[in-house]
Amino acid sequence: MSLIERLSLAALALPGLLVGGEAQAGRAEELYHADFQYAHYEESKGRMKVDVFELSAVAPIGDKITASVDLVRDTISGASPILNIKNSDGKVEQYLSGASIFEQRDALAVGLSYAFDDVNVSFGGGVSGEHDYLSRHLNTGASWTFNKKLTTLSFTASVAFDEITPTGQSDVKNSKTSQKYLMGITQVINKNSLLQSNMTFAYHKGYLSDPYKAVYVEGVGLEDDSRPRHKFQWAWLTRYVHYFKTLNKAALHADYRLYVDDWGINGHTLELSWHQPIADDWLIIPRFRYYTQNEANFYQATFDAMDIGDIHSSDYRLTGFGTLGVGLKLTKSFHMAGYIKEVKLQMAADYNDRKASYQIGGNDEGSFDDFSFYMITASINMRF
Amino acid sequence: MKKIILTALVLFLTACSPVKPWERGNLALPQMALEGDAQEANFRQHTFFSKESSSGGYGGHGGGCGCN
Amino acid sequence: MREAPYLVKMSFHAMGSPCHIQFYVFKSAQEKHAKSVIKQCLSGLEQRYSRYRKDSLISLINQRAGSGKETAIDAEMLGLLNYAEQCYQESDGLFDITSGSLRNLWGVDKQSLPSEQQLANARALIGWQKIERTTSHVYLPIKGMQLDFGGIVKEYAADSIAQLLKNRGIESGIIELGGDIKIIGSQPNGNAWPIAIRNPSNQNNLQLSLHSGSLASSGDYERFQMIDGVRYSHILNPKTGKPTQGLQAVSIISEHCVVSGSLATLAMLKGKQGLAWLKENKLDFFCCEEDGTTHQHLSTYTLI
Repeated sequence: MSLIERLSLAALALPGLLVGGEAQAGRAEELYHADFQYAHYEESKGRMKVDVFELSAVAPIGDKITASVDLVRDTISGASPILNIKNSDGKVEQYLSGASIFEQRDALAVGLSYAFDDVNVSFGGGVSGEHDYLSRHLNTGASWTFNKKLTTLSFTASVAFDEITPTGQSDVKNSKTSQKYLMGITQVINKNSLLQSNMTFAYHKGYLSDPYKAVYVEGVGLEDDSRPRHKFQWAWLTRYVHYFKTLNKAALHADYRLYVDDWGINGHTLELSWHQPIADDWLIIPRFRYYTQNEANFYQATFDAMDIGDIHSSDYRLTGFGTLGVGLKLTKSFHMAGYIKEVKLQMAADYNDRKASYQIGGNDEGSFDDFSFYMITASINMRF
Repeated sequence: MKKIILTALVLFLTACSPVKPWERGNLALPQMALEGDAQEANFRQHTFFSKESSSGGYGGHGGGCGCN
Repeated sequence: MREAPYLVKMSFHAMGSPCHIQFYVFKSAQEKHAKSVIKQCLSGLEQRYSRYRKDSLISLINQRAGSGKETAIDAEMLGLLNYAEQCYQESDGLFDITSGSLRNLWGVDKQSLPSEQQLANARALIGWQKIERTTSHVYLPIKGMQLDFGGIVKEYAADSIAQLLKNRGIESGIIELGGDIKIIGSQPNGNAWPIAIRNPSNQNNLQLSLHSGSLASSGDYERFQMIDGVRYSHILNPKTGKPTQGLQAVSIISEHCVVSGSLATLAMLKGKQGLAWLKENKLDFFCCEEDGTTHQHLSTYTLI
C-alpha cells in the first residue's frame, strides 16, 4: 500500500466519512424501524385466497444490541386440492375440497443480535399457530466480516417443533421436528458487483404427510397420504448483483438456486430483477422467475392395487412441473429532517403460471393440476 | 465435487479486484441491496415454498406452518 | 420529467476561517435540510474540538493533563486519534498533535527567538508516545501537555459535510472551509469546479479544475513571523521546537480532504526534503520553494 492509501484507510475509519449512512462503529443499525405490509395471494379456478398482515419493528438497545419483533396474521379461505381421480374417460382430474375452508394463522417472532467489532451474533425464536397446527422454533446465527470488510461469512442454525391436530380427526396428534443449517459467504467482487452464495442443509423427522390429502387407488378406493417419516434437503443459492452507472444507476439482480432432497426431487429456481431508479427517489423493479422440479419417487397422480406401497402421495406439490412468473414493483422513498428520517412506500404485483408442461425436459402428465396465482403486496417502512 | 467447488471459490476470490474503501459508494445504494425489503422477500419465499417443493438458501427463521 | 436543479451558495465564518459552500438541489426542502445539517455538523465539531472553548471535549482533556483523571472518548475522537497516530508513524514523529504547547514560544507578538532552555522545557511536554490511551479513554500524563486537532478538524469537517450532503441525495457541490476544499461531485452540466490557488511568489493564481476529490494547502505565506529579518513559518517541528524551513507553500490533491491536509502539513514539516518527499510518494501537488520556484505534479485522474 502506498502512503496515500494507508492514510486514506485510516481516514475512512472516521465516522464522518462513512458512506451511505451516519452509523457509528459497532453496529450497522442506529435507527428504529417500523414496517407494515399487506399482501394478497389468489389462485385461479376459485381456489385458495390468502390475506396477510405483517408488522415488524427493530430497535437499537445501547451501543451494540439490536432487538426485533415480527407479527403476522394470515387469513386463508377457498378450496384446496385433496386428491386426483380418474374420470369416466380414464383421464386424471383433480378433486378440490369444498370452498368453505377458513383458516387463520398467527405468528410471533422475536430476535436479539449483538455486534462485536467484526462479528455479529444473533438469537431468536417464535411461535406460529393455526387451529390445527402449532409450530415453535429457535434460531441462532453468527457472521464474520473480514478482508477489509469485503468478505462476510455467515452461519445460522434453527430448530422447529411442530404439532398437527387435524380437524375432524380429533383423536390424532402428530408431531414433527426440523433442523436447518445455513452457511454462506458474501463477497464484494469489485466496486460494481457483489456475490452471495449460501448452502443450507435441513433434516425433518416425524409426521411429514398431509392429513387432508388422499390418494386414489383404482379398484380399491381411497388411502391417506403417506410420506416417509424423515426428509433430508440440500439447497445452494447464489445471488449476484451488478451496478450499471450509465443506465441511471440501475442494478441487475440474478439468483439461481439448486435444490435436492432424498424424496427424489430436484428443483431449479432462477430469478432475475432489474432495479431501475427513475426520478426523485422512485425505483421501478420488473422481475422474472422460472422454477422447475421433477416428481418425488413415491408420487403418482393415481395408483392401482399393483403399484401402491406403504409410501404414496398424489400431492400436486410433489409432482413434476414448472412455474413461470413475472412481476413489477414500485418503491418511493421520502428522506426527512425531523424525528422520522425516512419513509418508504412499496407496491408490487406478480403473476405466476404453474404448468406441468413447463417442467424442464418435458412432462406428459397432463394439465389436471395446472393453475396460476397472483400476489399483490403494499407496504410502508419507517426509519426514525 | 466438494474439492472442485472449493478450488473454484478460491480461484474466484483471488481474481476479485481490490476495492478501495472509498469506492464502496455504489454498493451501498438501495438498488444494490440483496435484501431491500425483508417483509416482501419473506412473503414471496413463504408463498413459493408452500406451492413448490424447493426451499432454503435465503435464511429466515425456520418456523413451520401447515401451509397447503 | 426531472426538473432542473438550482445552485445554493453559503458564505459564513466557522472554525476561525471564512467558508464558502456551493451545492445544487432540486427543491427548497432539500436546501433547508442541507443548510441545517451543515450548521449542525460545524457547530458540533467546534463544540468538541475548539481550543478556544473552555467546555469543549478537547479543552477538558487538556485541562486534566497531569491531574490523574482520564477522559472518556467517543467513536469520533477515537477515529481522529487513530488517524493522528497514523500520521505520526508515517512522518517519523514529525506530525505530532501534542506539539500545540510549542505555540506559546512562537507567535506574532514575539520579538525575539526563544532560548534553548525555553525550547528544552517545551519539548518535555511534547510527544505522541507519551499519551496514555485506550479505545474508550485518553489521558495526558504531564501537566501542560496539550492535544491540538487544529491540523485535522477543518479538513475532517469538509469531508464530513460532503458525506452528509451525499447521503441526502446531493450529488453536485463544492465545500471550502478556510482554503480546504472537498468536492461533492461535478456540476450538473458535467463540468468540473474551478479552483484557484494563491501563488506566493507572484501575483498570479494557479488555476485548475476538479471533478471530484479534495485540495488542501499548507504554507507560511499568510502566517509567519519576521524576527531579525528571517522568516519563520507557523508550522513548528516538534523534534527541534523550531519552525520548519523549506517549502513556502504546498497544496495536495487527493480523494479525502483530511488526507490532503495531513500530507500538505507533512510536506512542510519535511523542511528541505519536502519536494523530494512529495515526488517520492507520487502525490499530486503544487508547491513553492523558499526562493519562489514552483513545482507541480498532477496525474491524469485529477484532470478528468
